[in-house]
Amino acid sequence: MTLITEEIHIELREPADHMQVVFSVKDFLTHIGFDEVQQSLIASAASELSTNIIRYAECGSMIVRSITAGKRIGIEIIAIDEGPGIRDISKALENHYSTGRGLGLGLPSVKRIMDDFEIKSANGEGTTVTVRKWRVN
Amino acid sequence: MSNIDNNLSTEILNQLPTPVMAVNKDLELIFLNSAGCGLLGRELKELEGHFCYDLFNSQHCQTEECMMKRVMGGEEPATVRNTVNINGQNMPIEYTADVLKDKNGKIIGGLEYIIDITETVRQEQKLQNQSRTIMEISTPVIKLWDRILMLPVIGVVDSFRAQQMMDKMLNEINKTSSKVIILDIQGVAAVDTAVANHLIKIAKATSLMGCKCVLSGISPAVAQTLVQLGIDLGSINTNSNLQEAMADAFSLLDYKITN
Amino acid sequence: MTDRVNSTDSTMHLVDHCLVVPIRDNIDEHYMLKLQEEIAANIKSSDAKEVLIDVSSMRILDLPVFDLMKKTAHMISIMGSQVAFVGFQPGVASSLVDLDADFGNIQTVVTMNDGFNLFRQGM
Repeated sequence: MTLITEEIHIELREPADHMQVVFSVKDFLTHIGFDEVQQSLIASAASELSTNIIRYAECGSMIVRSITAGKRIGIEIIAIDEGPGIRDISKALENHYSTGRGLGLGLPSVKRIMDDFEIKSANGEGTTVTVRKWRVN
Repeated sequence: MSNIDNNLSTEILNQLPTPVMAVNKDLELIFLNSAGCGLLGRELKELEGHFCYDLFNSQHCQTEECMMKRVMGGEEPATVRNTVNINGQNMPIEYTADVLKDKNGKIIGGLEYIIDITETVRQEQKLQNQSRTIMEISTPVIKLWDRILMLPVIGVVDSFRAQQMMDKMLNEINKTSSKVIILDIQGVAAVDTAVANHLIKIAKATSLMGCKCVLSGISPAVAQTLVQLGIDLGSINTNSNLQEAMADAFSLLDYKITN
Repeated sequence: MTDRVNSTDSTMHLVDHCLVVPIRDNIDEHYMLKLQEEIAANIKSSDAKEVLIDVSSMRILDLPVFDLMKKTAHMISIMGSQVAFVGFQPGVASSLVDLDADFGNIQTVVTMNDGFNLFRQGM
């Protein structure tokens, strides 16, 4: 039975759950009708956010939903975790800044890719990142 | 039935840890146990008389799939999957419906109990994803030509898989003394900075062993994504398709194709 | 090879004008420094214009030793000879990359033959 939902909720409790985020988001993007380039970009952004949760917070969740505004249709992704939080948000949004291994938190990339980007985080209080992208076709 | 028996029955229903409901023939609610009321976050008093489909908003509601209508129409009771929507939240469930009869055996409505299968669905999804990946992990490193290897990368690349991939590649390079390895990333589900980082690491390791790493299968979409992510693949050769990558590999090895 | 300088247990030898230097497993910086001296002395005495450093026996390689190996390669270049490393093992490559080692611009080849061919081309 195929369920066409307008919202999916994914729990991230272990590294293996990351896979589900990527596969689910891709299916969702196809369903909404984003073109190939946008699909690749948005999937990357979602993958980035998911990796952050697993790498820095160990557990959290992601909500992916379709959104409309007048004639526009788009996707909204909310990444929530109760991890250590980001001490210095402005620094984290700088390119090439990283407190872990790798090329950085990827947040600057996510911000570049998505149309809307909101982040709420504080040291010891977890992080919530909300992003949106609208279909152009 | 004595009064005492009635109260005990109701008490039992109300202590069942899963929603149980009864409707009349018009699908108006005549009973909902405590678990059911708890799920809706309302009191039985305010719910009585409401149509069950208004309260539970399931995928099956008001369609031919509605098990309640089907059993009342004469079908055998069965357990089926569905999704209910309460206060904007979707919840996957399994529900069983049967007819409700009066003392004389006449059908006066229907009965239903539902079971929350959120966790079950989650585990199923996980298993599905895992078998998908197991299939992909077992993709072997392919010997394309003398001293040229190829590895198609498919699916989601997390650090665990990346490490496995790298170990496999390095060992194959050692065994075959290969000078070029082509990594085809056409099938990668999502290229993010973590994935790019793994690729860069792998290319570094192979080149230390004297084997050049060439990326192929970079679609226009992926190319744009890499640019947007601000990733510099440095000295790694990249190609859009395998044919080009092979031509690249041949020239690196100074092989010439003669007709 | 005449007048071979031999301060370590190294079995370095000449093969067709190329000084082949096998490095054994489990060495420390002290050993590497002595090896470096020995290589320099032997290049001088044999006038070898090509040096192939064989690391295929090395299963463990830490950053300080790797660093000295890079410096050795640099020294050989300054002395006017070509130099390449042959035979880095999977485990070593993997751990060096994990440690985020800087490979500089050392030349590496897969087989001895590749090394000889490389030198023949004049790098």
